[in-house]
Amino acid sequence: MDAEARRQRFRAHVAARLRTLTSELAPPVRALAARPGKQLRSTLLYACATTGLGRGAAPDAPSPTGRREPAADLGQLVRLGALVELVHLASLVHDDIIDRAEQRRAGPAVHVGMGSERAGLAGLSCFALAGKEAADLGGGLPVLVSRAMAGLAYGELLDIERAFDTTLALPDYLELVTRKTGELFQLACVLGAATGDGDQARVDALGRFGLEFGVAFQVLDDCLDFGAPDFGAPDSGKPVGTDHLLGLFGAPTLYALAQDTSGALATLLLAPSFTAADIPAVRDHVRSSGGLAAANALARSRYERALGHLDSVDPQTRAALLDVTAQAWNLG
Amino acid sequence: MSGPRRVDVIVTGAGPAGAAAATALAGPTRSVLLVDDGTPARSYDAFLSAPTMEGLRRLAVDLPAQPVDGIDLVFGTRSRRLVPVRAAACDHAALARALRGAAGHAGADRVRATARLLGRDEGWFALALDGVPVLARHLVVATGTSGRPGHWMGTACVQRFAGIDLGTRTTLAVAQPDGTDPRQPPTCVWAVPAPGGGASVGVASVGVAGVGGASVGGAGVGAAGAGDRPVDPDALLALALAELRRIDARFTDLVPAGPVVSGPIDAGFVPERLTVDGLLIGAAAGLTNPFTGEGLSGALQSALLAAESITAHPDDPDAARRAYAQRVRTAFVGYFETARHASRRYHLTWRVLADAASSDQPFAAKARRAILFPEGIAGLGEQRVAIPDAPLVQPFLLACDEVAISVIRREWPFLARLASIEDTGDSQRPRPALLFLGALIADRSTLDVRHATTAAAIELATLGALAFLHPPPPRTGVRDVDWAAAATVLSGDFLLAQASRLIAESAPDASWMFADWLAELAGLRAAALDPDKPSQPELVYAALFEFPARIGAILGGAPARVVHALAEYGYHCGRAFLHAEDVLAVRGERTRLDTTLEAMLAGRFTGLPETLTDRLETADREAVRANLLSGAEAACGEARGRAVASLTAVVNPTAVRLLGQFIDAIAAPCSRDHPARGTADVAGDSATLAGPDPMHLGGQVGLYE
Ligand SMILES: Cc1cc2nc3c(=O)[nH]c(=O)nc-3n(C[C@H](O)[C@H](O)[C@H](O)COP(=O)(O)OP(=O)(O)OC[C@H]3O[C@@H](n4cnc5c(N)ncnc54)[C@H](O)[C@@H]3O)c2cc1C
Repeated sequence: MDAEARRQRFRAHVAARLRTLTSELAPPVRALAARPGKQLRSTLLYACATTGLGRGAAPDAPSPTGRREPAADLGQLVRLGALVELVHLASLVHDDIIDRAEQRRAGPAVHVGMGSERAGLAGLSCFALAGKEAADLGGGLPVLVSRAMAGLAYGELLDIERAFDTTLALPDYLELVTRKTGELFQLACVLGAATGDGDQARVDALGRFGLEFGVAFQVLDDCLDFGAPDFGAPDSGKPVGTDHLLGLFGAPTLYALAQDTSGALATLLLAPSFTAADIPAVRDHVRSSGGLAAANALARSRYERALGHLDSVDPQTRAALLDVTAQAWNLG
Repeated sequence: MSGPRRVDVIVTGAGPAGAAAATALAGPTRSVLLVDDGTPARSYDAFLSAPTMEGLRRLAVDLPAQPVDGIDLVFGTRSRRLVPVRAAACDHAALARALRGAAGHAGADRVRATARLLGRDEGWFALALDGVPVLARHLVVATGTSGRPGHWMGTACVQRFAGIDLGTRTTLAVAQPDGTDPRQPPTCVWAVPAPGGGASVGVASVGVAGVGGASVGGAGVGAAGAGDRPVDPDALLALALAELRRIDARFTDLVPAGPVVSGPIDAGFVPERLTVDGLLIGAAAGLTNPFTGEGLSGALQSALLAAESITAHPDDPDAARRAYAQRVRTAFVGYFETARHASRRYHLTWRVLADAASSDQPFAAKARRAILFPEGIAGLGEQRVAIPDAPLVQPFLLACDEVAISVIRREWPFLARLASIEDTGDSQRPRPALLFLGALIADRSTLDVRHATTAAAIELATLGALAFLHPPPPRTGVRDVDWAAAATVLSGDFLLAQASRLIAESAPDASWMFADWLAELAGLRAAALDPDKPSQPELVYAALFEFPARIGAILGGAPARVVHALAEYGYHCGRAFLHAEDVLAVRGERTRLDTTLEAMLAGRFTGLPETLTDRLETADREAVRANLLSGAEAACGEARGRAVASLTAVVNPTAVRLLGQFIDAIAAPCSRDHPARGTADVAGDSATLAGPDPMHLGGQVGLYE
């Protein structure tokens, strides 16, 4: 079986486990769980779990067991993968209440069907499930998972409090992205890596990789939200550009705003009469002023930095992660 | 040996804070110098919040103050409501005189001079008073607002007017910020009744000094933060009057009856700032509410804390400094503790308050009270629980509060205000930590302080659960984020994640049970919301109280039989709590969750039978009310009886006393001898508010009209 086929099989296991875990939740949450998306987080976890094996071995050399399976048993990895997806799922349910998104993963957002009060409870149930699963798996998991969840929640706060800030500074923007997206990617990589041979330096390196890659990924997602035709649809599966209506401006728009000495773009974005009909004009402005290109360059440089953290990692793991990230980048 | 005069304490500044500190410190065994440069206190009607009154009571200062029992709270054009309070109004100059008089009476030596700190010399503070050197063991700095740039500074102006009678109510209007400019400094306007008729109209506006700052006038609000352009007090007051007239026709024919008084305010409190050179208190410590300009409560509270710290360590200024730093860290949470996010966070909070203003759902109501009013929300009722075995219990509770606040204050100071506890001394209002603590020592007489962290987790989790159990209703038809709903979800997620982390770190074996508790709460609440199922809101509160008791008993190593009894106890506490809420709501009193009967019915969290509540608006409503009351009182009494009965399994007498008092406090509103406070209670008779547009009263035009 080649690497991609193994990953696909792993994703199928994770999806099945996620369905079992969420079976006791409300139907709209089950429906969302049944559309598991790209499963990027659990796929990263899986790729990092190969760490313990074949150190120094050629990328395609068979492992001592004859198959190139990760060191931890598959069942354990599937549970960890499903746990990470469950935390992500819970955050999506709440995220959609917060920004009132109608759509999620090519279907209705959870709160659309059941109202925001019940959706809040459904998301809470997801978090509680994640907590129980983490406790069941034991070890350091409850601490690691709850820390990541606290980071995620803080990132959401930073995300919301920047509303209508047309002068958000780059470090503040990056802090928000790091908490909101990076921490969960980091958790995925750490959990995967920790199933390996117990080399803490490599766990840390892979964690840093995850954090940085999460940042790159989120910046790229901001670009995709711009409907960059060369990249395809954004990860969120939300209609393009709607964040502008909420006063939440991503990297491309922030770059464009910083360039705009005339103040015309800020005036347009802050106008009380601003509607979806104005989004194409914003998009044109941001593109022509180089905002989109600058944001793409930022995403790219963060991506390079993420890969830099893999220098100390064995070639096999590095190859596996490069595979996954390239796919995420839509280059593969 | 000659040389400079030596005293035990110098207090610089004889405003409310300094005078209060000198009053509390002076005595036959301690020499206290109270130094003031002689700037006269000015005359206007000041609003004295409930904690301000409590501070004055503790100092035994008697004032010609007039009671205020309600705040007419207005958010732009969006909403208007009456918030019941126990406050007062009093002439500011009279307050200053009374406090200075009290200091003199207590034995403080009052000196008129400008004080300057020269430095520290072998453990003594060296000061120059109009150039004359004096040495002091301790230094308390109460010199008021200093105008440091970069802090949250602002301006407040007040003027007294005739031609209006506000009775026993004040008005507080939070001007609507222009939603699209994140840097615009918001403004609030108030009117405080003058004893014997008339009122003082005030206005406060806060912004970061040296950052942004809009021009005065123009489109509605906007006054420059200090450090920018100087503010024109007359223009600010004109704005305030226009806003008040818009709200309430009674403000149309005001006649000025005093000069315009204006001064700087400082809302830049951070704990680290307080103990650098002496103990900073009051306005010098930045303890002013940026939303309301209220600063007297912080002035008096910080003065008392500083006095306590010095009294506890009379010969060791460094120990006093450390004690003060610790007390301050748990007693106050600043509004802007992380300067980097301050401006955005301020606006977020502003938006949330405005969006949630029309909601009586508990989380919104609690947040509003914590942020706008200094009395905070700590605890689940007024009835207090006396702390038995104080030497054992008090350090535990202090540690619990320190943990609870420290884990959220840096990242989310506004939220930390929800958790901040202003209870001190030997009694507390009932709260989950007490329940946990009582169960923890049920079968043992020692306390592991590590469990204070677990107690903190339970406090934070209860607050976080409340966010999901009772969120504000969604707002529709607007372009931007639904701030109230968003902030509620964010707060809930953050508090619960932090609580989970604390549990995982302090009691890893409880992680699963903790998560299971959250799942249970979510499931029970979802079931209570389901119109097709019999509504059993009792179960939600039973579960909310059962867990702290059960986990306390388990972590305390109690045998299974005792664990079971305590779980039972917690379960019935929760039931009693809900029925007591019902009783308070039917009486029209302020409930522990800060909510109203109408909101409880709308949110489906009441144990009152629907068959009866449906008939509240019919002709026989008085009979229906009486029926509801007796039913809820009986249910509460039954729950209390069962809780008390389960305490027979508890061995430790301290635990029995603590838990016995806890359930008594929870059930207090239902007991026969409960004082029937203010019958025509403010929450019920909002219709008497004079306003141009009854639409704004939306949420609260009551059931009983
Ligand atoms: C116009 C206005 C209206 C307000 N209305 C209310 C209200 O209604 N309710 C409320 O709760 N709060 C109100 N506040 C806020 C409240 O007044 C302050 O929070 C409170 O006065 C703080 O008390 P303080 O003792 O810390 O400082 P201050 O009252 O400022 O006292 C400081 C004292 O120190 C003296 N001093 C300063 N430097 C020196 C020095 N170097 N040497 C010697 N003496 C010195 C000053 O002369 C002054 O007497 C209002 C504020 C303003 C400006």
